[in-house]
Amino acid sequence: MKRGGNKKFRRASKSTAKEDDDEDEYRVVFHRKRKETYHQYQIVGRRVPTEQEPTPQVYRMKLWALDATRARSKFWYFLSRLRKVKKANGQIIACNEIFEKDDTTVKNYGVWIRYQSRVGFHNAYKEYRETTMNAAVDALYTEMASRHRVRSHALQIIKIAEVANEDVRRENTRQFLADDVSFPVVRKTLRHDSKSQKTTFKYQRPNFAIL
Amino acid sequence: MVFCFLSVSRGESLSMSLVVVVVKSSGGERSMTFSARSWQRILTKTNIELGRVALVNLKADKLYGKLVVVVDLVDQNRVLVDAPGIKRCIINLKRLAITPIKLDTGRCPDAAALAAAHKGAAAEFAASKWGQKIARQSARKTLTDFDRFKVAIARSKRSAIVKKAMA
Repeated sequence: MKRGGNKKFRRASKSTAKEDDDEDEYRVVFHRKRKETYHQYQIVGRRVPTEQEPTPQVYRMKLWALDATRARSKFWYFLSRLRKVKKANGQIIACNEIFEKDDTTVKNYGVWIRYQSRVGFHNAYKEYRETTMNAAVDALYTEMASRHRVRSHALQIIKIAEVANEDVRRENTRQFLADDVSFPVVRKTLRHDSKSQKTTFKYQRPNFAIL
Repeated sequence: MVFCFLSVSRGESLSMSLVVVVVKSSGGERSMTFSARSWQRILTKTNIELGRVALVNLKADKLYGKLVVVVDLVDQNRVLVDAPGIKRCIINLKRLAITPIKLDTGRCPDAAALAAAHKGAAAEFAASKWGQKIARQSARKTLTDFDRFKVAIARSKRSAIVKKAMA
């Protein structure tokens, strides 16, 4: 899979104009869109300094977004709601991505969120078991979209914290914490080795006997 | 997650037999039905647990063919796996073939303990029928055209001897 490629779809109808062009002209190439994942950013911003206010208050915010541009946008969205600063009269001093050091141990993450449903606004607390906070945020957005039909724009993360095993609140998280947990894998289906070998219908020998 | 085996209902033939399991948790009770084949897998002790050794069997995965150890449980579909020479990572259970081997490494063992335990597990797996089959298949794959020819000759010789003996 190529990164960042656009969908290239060319038809052979214009072939008369460029006969000498190589066969690349007629090839139909679909690039699958790369899965976007959430990243943690630190944004620092303030009002633009003026003569009346030469050293304005500096604000720092840590937030999750798909890329730095969207992170900056989110920063202005939140800041304009919290303080009397907006993009038109403000400036961004720094925008850095925060990388996590430990991505090889599974941790419990508690997420406090606020979201807008078709009825109104709700506050909620959710727990995820993941190796990184970014993965937990990814899982959060996916779960909220599927279970509650909450789109990403209607979801605000209030706080994320690592939760100690004894402070875990959700049974679904707690059940994997004990050392003696043992469960079977049921309904295991045979899988094709690669996408090219995928078939919608798989031949299977009939399972009956004529006596 | 507590598994409580309540009733076993058996049909007339083996292919019809079903096993009903009642799962008790703080959320209440619910029953699960298993086919004979699934139940056989449960009986052969290929449960997911800490220290369970598994083989990555999805070709598309970068760990394909690796014998890995379950070092932590993430959720009911994913586990954290480790093996000497790889970076500890989460893998979906759909990509794993579970072996009957279980190590006493517990949760997140250090690299030295894991390597020591993995050595024994690898030897045990290689000695098993399953491991022998994989070794045979990979040996077959490395054969050259001439090697394959030699195998064909050897086979025909062997079958000639067998035919003679059986005649």
